[in-house]
Amino acid sequence: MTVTEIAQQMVNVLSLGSMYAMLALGLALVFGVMGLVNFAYGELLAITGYTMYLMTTNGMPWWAAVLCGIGVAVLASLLMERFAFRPLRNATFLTLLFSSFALATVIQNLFRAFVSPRTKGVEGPEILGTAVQVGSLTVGWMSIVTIIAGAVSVVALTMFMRGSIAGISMRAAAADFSTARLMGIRANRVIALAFVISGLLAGIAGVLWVSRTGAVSPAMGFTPILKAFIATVIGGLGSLPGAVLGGFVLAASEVLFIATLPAAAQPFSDPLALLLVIGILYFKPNGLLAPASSERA
Amino acid sequence: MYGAIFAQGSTLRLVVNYFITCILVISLQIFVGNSGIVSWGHAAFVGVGAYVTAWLTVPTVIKEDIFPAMPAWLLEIELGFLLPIVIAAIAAALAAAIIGLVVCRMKETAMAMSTLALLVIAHSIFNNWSGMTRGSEGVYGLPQNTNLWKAAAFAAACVVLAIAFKQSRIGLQVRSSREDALAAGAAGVNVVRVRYVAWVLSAAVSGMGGSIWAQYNLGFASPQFYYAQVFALLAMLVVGGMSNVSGAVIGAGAVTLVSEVLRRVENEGSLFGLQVPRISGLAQMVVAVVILLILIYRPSGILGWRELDDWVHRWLTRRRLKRAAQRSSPQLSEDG
Repeated sequence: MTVTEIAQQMVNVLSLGSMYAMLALGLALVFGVMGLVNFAYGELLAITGYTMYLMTTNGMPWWAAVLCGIGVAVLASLLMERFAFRPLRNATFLTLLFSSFALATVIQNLFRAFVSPRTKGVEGPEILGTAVQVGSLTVGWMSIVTIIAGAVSVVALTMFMRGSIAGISMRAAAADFSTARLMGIRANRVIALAFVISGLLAGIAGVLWVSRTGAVSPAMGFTPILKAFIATVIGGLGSLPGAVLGGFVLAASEVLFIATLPAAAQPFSDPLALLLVIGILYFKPNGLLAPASSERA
Repeated sequence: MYGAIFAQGSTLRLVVNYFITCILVISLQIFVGNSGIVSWGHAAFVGVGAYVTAWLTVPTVIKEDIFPAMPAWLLEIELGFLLPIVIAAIAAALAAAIIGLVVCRMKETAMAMSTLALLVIAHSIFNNWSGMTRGSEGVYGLPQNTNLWKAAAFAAACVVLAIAFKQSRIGLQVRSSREDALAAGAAGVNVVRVRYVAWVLSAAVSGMGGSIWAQYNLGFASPQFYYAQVFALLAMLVVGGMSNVSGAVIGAGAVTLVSEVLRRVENEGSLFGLQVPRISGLAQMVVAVVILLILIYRPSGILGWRELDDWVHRWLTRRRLKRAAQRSSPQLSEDG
C-alpha cells in the first residue's frame, strides 16, 4: 500500500468517523441522563430526510430544506421525550429499550402510510458530488463537509458541556441523577435539553446521511442507529468522549475490513464489528472509556 | 408478522398460522418471560430451524438447483414431517448452547444488547451465505407437511412444556432471578446456569416453531428473520403479559386478530364492506401504538401476573361468595 493510498484511507476514516461520532454522541447524551438506549434515534435521521424530500420536491431551495430538516428533527426529539418517554421515566432499562423500538416502528410506518413505502431520491447541491485535488489525494466535498460538521459539533458540544450551567447540570445529572436533583437541577428540563441536543445532532447527521446516500426510505433509520449503538457500546454507554472514540474505532475497523477482507467476505464486515461489540460487552460491560464508578451499563 | 403475513382471506390459513405463532411466542416466553431479559436473538433461532428444515425436506431436484454449495450427502436427503422438526430443534439448541456460553454470563442489560448484535449477525449470515440460504431471493419447494391438527397439537404440547418449565425447580429459580438477581444468587440460585437452561430450551422451541412454520408456508427468505418479526413476537408477548404462558397464547391471538383485520383494510381498502382509504403499514403501526400504550398504562400485560386458570378460578370463587352472600343477605340488610 502506497503512502497516497494510506492517506486516502485516513481521510475515509476521518469522514466516516465524524459521522459515527455525531450519531453516537446523540445516543450517549440521552442514555447519560435517563438510561435509555433510544432506538427511535435513527428515525430522527429519517424525519430529517423526509422533511428534506418533501421540501425539495415542492420546489423549496436546498438550504431551506436543510434548516427545516434539522429543526423538525429537534422538534420530533422533544415530542418523543414528552409523549413516549416521560410517562416511562422510572421504568426499567428493558421497558425503555422496548418502547423506543415500538416508537421507531410507529414512525417508520407513518412514512410508509403518508409518504410512500418505496425509496425516494433526494437531490442535493451538485458540489457535494465533486472532489477536490490536494496534492496526489482526491478528497470529495462530501467528506470535507462531514469532517467539518463533525469537528464543529464535537468542539461546540464540549464547550457547552464544560462552560455553561446547562451543560454542567447535564453532566451532573448523568453522573448521579438523584443527587443532581437534590442540588436543584430540574429533571424535566435537563432531560428535555438532552433530547434537544440529541435531536440537533441527529438532524445534522441526517442531512449528511441523506446527501451521501441521495435517497430516503421508511427503514433508513436502522443502519445509522446500528452504527451509533455499536460506537456507544465500544466507547461506554453514556460516556461522551467514549462515544467519539467509539465512532472513530468503528470507522477505522470498517475501513480496515473493506481494505483487507476479500470481496467474498465483504458483507460480513458488519457482523465482525458486532462480534467485537459482544466481546467488549463481555469483558468490559461499561465500555472502553467508562469511569470506574459507573454502574449503569 | 408471522401470524398474519400469508393469510389472504382464508380462515384456515389464519388459524394454522395462529397456532404456529403461538409456538414462537411461547418459545420467547420461556426465556424472556421467566428471566425478564429481552432477547432479540430468537429470530435467529427461528431462522436456523427454518433453514435446517429446508435443507432436509426440499426435493433433491430442486435442491440441486437452488443450493449450489450444498454437499452431496445432504442433497440426497428428503425427510418427512417429524424428523426435520427434531433436527431443527437440536440445531437451534446447539447454536444457543454455544452462544449462551458467552451471552448468559453477562449482566441483564449487556445481555439484551448482545442479543440485538446476535440478530444482526445471524441476519447477515442468512442474507449472504447464498450457496446455502439463497439470501433475500428466498428458498422454495418445501412440502406442506404441517396441517391444522399437527400445528394445534404442537402448540398444545408447547403450552404444557412451558408451564411445566415455569413450575419446575429451575423455572422457579429463573423467575426468582427476574425479581432480584442479586438476592436470588445470595439464596443459592446459580443465576448464570438457570438462565442458560432457559435460553437453550427456549431456542430449541424456537427452532421447532421455525421448522413447523417453514413446512407450512412452502418458501421463505432471509428478511423474514429480522427485527420487524422478532418485534412482532415480543409485542404479542407484552400484550398478553409476559410472565405467564396463557398471556403468550392470548397475546398471540389478540395481535394476530387485530393485524388480520387491519391487513384486510390495508390490502383491500374495505372494512366490513365499508370503503376506507388504503394506508400501507397500518397494521404494524397500530400494533406498535398499542404496545406503547400497554407499556405506559399496563406494563404487566392484559393478564398481568396471573395465568388464565387463576383468573377463572378467582372469578368462580367471587361468584360463589356473592351467591352465598345473597342467600344470607336479606336478614343482614333488614338488620342494617
